[in-house]
Amino acid sequence: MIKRVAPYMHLFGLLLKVDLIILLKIVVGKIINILFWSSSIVIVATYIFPKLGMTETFGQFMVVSSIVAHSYWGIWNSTYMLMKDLEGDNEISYKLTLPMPSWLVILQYAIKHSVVKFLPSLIVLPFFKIILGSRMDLSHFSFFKFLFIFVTICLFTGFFFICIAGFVRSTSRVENVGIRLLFPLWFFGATQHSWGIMHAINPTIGYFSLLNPLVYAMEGIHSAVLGPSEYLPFWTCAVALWGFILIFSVVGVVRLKKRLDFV
Amino acid sequence: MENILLKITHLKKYYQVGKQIIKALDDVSFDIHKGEIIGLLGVNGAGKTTLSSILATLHPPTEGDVHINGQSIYKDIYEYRKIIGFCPQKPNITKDLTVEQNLYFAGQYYGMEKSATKERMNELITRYNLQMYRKMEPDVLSGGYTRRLLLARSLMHKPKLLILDEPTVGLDPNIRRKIWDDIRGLKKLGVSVVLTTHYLDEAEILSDRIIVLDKGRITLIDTPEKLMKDFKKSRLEDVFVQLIEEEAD
Repeated sequence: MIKRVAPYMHLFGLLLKVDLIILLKIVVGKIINILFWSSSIVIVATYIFPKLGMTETFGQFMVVSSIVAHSYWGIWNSTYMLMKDLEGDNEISYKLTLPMPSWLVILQYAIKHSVVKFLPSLIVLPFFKIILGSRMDLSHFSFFKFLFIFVTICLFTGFFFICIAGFVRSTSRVENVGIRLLFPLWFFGATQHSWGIMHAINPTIGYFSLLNPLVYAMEGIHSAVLGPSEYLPFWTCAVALWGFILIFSVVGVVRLKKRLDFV
Repeated sequence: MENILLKITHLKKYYQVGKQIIKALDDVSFDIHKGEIIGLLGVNGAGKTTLSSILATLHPPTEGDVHINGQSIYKDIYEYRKIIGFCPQKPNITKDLTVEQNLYFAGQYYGMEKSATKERMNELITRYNLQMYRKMEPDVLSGGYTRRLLLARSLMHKPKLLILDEPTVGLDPNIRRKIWDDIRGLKKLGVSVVLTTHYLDEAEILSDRIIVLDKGRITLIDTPEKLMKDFKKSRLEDVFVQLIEEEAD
């Protein structure tokens, strides 16, 4: 496999370089967007919700959730942009005639999503540590685990995006995916509370939600940042996410190959 | 045989739309010679763009094959892709890169050396009069300049076969003439060109051979001169109109 792909890695790298050049042009705007988004969530979760009976640590929990939010909800936009391209100028058709395997072009779209969402999202944690001070407890923070799970989550959202794109027929239907799929996955994805709480309240929903890949993303990153005691085992989350990445990459490439009818 | 660049044999492309099978290409066979300009003509939906996109390896055929040097292009499709340039109808350029970057990376993608890429990029920017826009993103370009950029990009890596799908649509007459000169210049360099066009004057002036497609099949293939002689017409457009009327009958 590596031998087969190696000759095209230079070209693959060039496509990613182009993505980075484009990202650099828009990175400031992306960071501002993320900070606006996350600040809205965190301010309410830290200063309003505790007055309504939520725990004092809810704010820091939501800070960690919001690190993933940008990458996850970006799936909606990435799917829309790809559909728009397919219905419009078809920029992807140029890449599909380059001297490299076409499935690598599809993977490049997934990795592009991951990189574009990864770099600006990195700012969230240090920013809110400065803003929240002692309300953001990082005494259990594991840098290695955080980096590993964060890269994994960004890749997961990238491959989830191409998988979804393989099923969506047009730009007008992207909204359906957002509301009928992304939205419920998010709310049942341990984004507002740990999986343990969901399981304690209703074990059936708890076990059923283990089919939701976002549960592993959220539990994994909360475990890496806030400590492992209240969350699913870190490495279980990591392995599960890599399983989903593998499934989504295969399904995404197969579906898009059928859809785009490429060689 | 030595003069043949591509051999297209029994090419078929079927699409399924609902329960209906649409035959976009139905048993198309012909050769493309080295340094030859082939004009692909046909009414809308005749199969011209489908044929172009199969030759550009964007889509696979349902049946049939395309051979280069006696070997199927699908045996080593990436090597084949290195010798073709494709200028599609839709302006599929990278909108977030500048004109210059679009050309630079087009060269890099095909493994050109950096210095050679820059030299070629400057040459094409000058040839297509894109100097004023080189540092700008393509969304500021008019339709005509966008087509020039597309053409320049497809020529960056000096392809042996250039597939042009409606390359002069929406261009001013003087620019069309300039592009015609370029296509003739490519022929002198030994580049083969597959030219899909709705402009029959363009096909008549440029093409060594004309292929007329109708409902996915080749109905005529010959030199423009021979076609005009056979149909006793002085212009290719009159030949084409007569053909369409005969098909309609």
